[in-house]
Amino acid sequence: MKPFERNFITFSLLFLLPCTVLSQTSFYRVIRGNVALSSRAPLELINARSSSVQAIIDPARKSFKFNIPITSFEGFNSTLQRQHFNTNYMESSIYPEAKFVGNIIEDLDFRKEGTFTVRAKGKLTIHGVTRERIIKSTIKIQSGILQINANFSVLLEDHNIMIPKIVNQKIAEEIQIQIDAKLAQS
Amino acid sequence: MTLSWHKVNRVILLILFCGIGQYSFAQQPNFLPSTANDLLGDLTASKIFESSFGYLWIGTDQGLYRFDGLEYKAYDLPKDSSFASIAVSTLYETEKAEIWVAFANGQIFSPTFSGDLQPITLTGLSGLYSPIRSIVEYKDQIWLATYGQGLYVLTPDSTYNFTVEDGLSGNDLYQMSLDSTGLAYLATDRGVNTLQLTETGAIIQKITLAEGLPANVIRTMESDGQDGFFIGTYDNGVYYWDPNSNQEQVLIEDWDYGVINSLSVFPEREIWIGTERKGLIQYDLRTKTYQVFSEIDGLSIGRILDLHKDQEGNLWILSNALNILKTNRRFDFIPVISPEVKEIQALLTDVNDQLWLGTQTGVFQLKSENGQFKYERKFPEIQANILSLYQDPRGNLWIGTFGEGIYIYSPSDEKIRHLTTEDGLVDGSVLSIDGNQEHIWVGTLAGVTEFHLGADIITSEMIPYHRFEQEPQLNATFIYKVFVDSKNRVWLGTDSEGINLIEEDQVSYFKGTDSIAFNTVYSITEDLDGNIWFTSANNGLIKFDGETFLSFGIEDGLRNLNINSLTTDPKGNILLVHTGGIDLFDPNSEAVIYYDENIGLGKLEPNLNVFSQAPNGDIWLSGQEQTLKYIAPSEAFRVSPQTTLDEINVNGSTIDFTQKNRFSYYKNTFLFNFKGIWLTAPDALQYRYKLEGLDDDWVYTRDQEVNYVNLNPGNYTFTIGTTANNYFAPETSQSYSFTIRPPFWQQAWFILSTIVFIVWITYLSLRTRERRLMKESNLRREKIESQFEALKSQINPHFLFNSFNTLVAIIEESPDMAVSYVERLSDFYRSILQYRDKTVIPLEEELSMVQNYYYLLQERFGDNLKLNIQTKETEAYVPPLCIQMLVENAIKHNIVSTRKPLQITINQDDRGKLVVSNTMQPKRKKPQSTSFGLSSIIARYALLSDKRVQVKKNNQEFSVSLPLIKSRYTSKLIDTDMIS
Repeated sequence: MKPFERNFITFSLLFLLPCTVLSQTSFYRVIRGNVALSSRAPLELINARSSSVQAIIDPARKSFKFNIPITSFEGFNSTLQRQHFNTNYMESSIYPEAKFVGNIIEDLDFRKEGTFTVRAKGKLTIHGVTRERIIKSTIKIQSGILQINANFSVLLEDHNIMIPKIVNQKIAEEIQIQIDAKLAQS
Repeated sequence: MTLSWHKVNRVILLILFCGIGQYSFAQQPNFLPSTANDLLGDLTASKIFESSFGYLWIGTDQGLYRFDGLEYKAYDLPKDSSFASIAVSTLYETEKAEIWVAFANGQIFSPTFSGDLQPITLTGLSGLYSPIRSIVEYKDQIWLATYGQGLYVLTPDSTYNFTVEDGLSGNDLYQMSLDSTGLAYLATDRGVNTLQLTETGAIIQKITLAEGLPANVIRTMESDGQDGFFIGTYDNGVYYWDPNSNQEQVLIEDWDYGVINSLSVFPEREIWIGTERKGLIQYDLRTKTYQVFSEIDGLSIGRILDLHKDQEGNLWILSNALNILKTNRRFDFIPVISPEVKEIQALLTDVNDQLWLGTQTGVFQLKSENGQFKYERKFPEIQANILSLYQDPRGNLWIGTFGEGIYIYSPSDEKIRHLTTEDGLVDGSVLSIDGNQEHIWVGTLAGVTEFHLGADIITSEMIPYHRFEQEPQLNATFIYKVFVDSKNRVWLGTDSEGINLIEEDQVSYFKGTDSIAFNTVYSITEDLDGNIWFTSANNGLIKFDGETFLSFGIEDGLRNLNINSLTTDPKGNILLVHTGGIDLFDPNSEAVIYYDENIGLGKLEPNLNVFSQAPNGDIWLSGQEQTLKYIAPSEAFRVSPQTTLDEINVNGSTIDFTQKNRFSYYKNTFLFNFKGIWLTAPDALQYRYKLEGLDDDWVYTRDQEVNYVNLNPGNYTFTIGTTANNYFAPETSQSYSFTIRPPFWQQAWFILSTIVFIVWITYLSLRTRERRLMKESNLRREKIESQFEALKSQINPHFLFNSFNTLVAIIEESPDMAVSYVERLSDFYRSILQYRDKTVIPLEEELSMVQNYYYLLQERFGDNLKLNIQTKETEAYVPPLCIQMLVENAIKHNIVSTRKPLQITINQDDRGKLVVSNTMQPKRKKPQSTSFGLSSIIARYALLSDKRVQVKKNNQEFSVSLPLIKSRYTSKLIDTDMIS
């Protein structure tokens, strides 16, 4: 096939896909989405969680988008801590959400039931700084429901999140993130 | 049936990997921050690339920098907002030695002479917006591996874009390499893909776990120097992969060091692994051990962004925390010496790569414990001053002491035997020991003893020996060095008596030649060609090829004539150790490399035996501040600096000197900027230059530029050479030949044409003068002739006869008229006489003369002759008598009768010419004529005026038009009257 023809077909497919294929295979959307973060610093353990995870998965293109409003995190060891989290570190008024957008590397057949380990490759944006990440996740497919679990860590430095020297004994440089979401086709 | 070396080596390599890497602490590289860091300031270098010339091209988030070891040159990003803080994705050098820098937006630029980046447009490439990760030229194709849009192959005919749709494992390509057959290896998110271009498309193979390689994210691939690859993955560590057997081998099991960003391979020696979060890992391919560097000098190393091995054997490390670090990979260091060890006098690396040390108080072994090095005392029973150490081929350790003979330690039965003079030693002080499979020679302060090396050397009653003493065999007592060469000849370095050579129990003596003298010989080695090299106190290095001695000194690039020890590395280089540092001497090219503080080397011991070559070829040395290891190279590194002409500036503007080499005479002020590149020791660079055509000798400098002002026209060749060791050989020099053309007035063509021009002008003027003279003489002749003719005609007897007849007829009728007639006749003749010498006369006068003439004629012809004069011009001249002559001609040639009166008209035509015309009524009988009249007029006019006399003749009329001459001076000839 000549390069031009192939490009043309690719091009056409890109435009036709949303109208035809995708209208039949609909996206998976969140039924229930939780995210938990924990900071294990020498002097303090901080836990926080949010149930406002928004997620969408396009099974045809294996693409996904996860979205978490920063202000939705609750828990912490005090209200003041939560306030610091939002205003000082995450600057949630400027960067209201964290997101992870990309594709699943593995070939995954969403119609097949079972538990699969996949690698989700995409752009992780936290605190306005985007870094490419490959995050190992498990997807459990059962009766059309996707159960997604992923554990990963975020280095604060990678996302320009500055911790004042005084409190760096209380906040870890590396924050553990745990995602647990249930998605179904809508 | 030949088994190629390739295969053998690969097999060896695979065997090496049968064991899995163990974490260990070994000797350390010396990491030195690059001087580039100060220059780069806050910029973070993220990509490093070395051009074939030797420049390091450094990609930062703010543009491109070219680093020569000392200074950098900045190439600014295009002034386009889309380039703000954009990362360099890859750097490449084309086959035409052009540097390409690709940015994260898919655009490629190339640095120019003037310090800009100019965009590179590749034919057939469009729609690329993803970072280019690898660029390869293959034949007439350009291959681009992109991160996001798959692989582009640009051929002269078409453009191919291979993506997931064509069978690639992913559109994010991390890296690509092409082998000589055009097979591409692509690093993808799901293992390696190979791609072979075919007539119709491409054959793509996915290499994943089923076919050998785990379907890992392949971040980086580095060739092992042959067909294999070392592969760095996202989270599974490093593999060695052989595409031919399709087998892979994991290097470090239970990988816990995270994402790998970069690999650098020193084939058969070591691999450097740069990780995202866990620092830098050095993996030793020989020992299969590794060590991790997460801090350097107490500072976190941070994220390793890129690694690069340069042509000289330095490793460059780009980290986001420490920016650019350099480490010379030809040396490793053990930085701290335990204070308990005083005065190391002997060093030995045994077959197990263990380091033994002999000191004034006994024997020690170097151990590492929890990353700390320490010396462990061995053989506490040997409380002696150790002078020499040797391990024989059976593994026994020979320990030579001062005054107490030799201790032999057998590791197999852990026993020690003590040999003294009673056992055959010539003397108890053992300075040097060497041997072969059968014999050990022991050099002492009084001669040499040769021991027979039997299996039972520890337990036998007596070891057979043979003594060589000063009398009768040797000519010296002190034996500093015993060296057994590959032909089993025993070379003895003596104190003040040169060399004694024991060959087949016969001893010969060398003490120099007429030109080379050597007395005390400290150290001896043999190169790969079988030549013997030795050092002599104050005499530098001496080579003996079996027949002649050749000496190398300061003038040959050595730094110090007092060389303590020397030995040959597996590549044939000779390592020379002296108190000033280490010189690496290549016997073939005679190149010398200096190593000293530029690689972190401290002061070295002057002791002779603190020097040991390990069985693997590494050479250990002990200094006052550190113990160091020279790593036997497995590949050839560059041995001397590169030289380049960086910029040539003529009269203040930079020129493209690859194109231009001819200059005008006024472009004669030249500024040459040159650079040498020696990344190992950039401070040591020195230059010499010569401008052939001006300089007779080399000019030596440390500057990187030279200015020549107001060069004279001529041919010049500027040559620049560089050295890092005071000695310009072997030298990489660069030349630039150019010509300053002489000014045009000094050039042959101009001089020649000027001469031709002058000759031509002279010739022309001479010719013109000649012509004028000829014209003048012609005119004069014509004038004389016309005067003569005029006179002749006027005194024509017919005219006189006719005139007199007329006079006779009128005298009686009218005496008054007769008087008037005579007066007119005399006037007419006076006029003729008056005008005959003149060239021109005023028209007025000529006409009045014609009136007189007409009067005379009228008396004769009466009304039969009519003259009509109508002229406007007054300020005009004509040659004298010409109108009169025309009137006369008219009468002469035409019938004048009552029946046919002759009408003569003199008037001016519209172009101002004077026209003399008459009615045409020719006489039947042609009058006798000299035909002088008319032709004389034409000839005279030709000399006087450019305008021509026109003669028109038809049945009715005969007319002659005469050009009027505007002034007597405009005539072509100056009136002769005016001259005289």
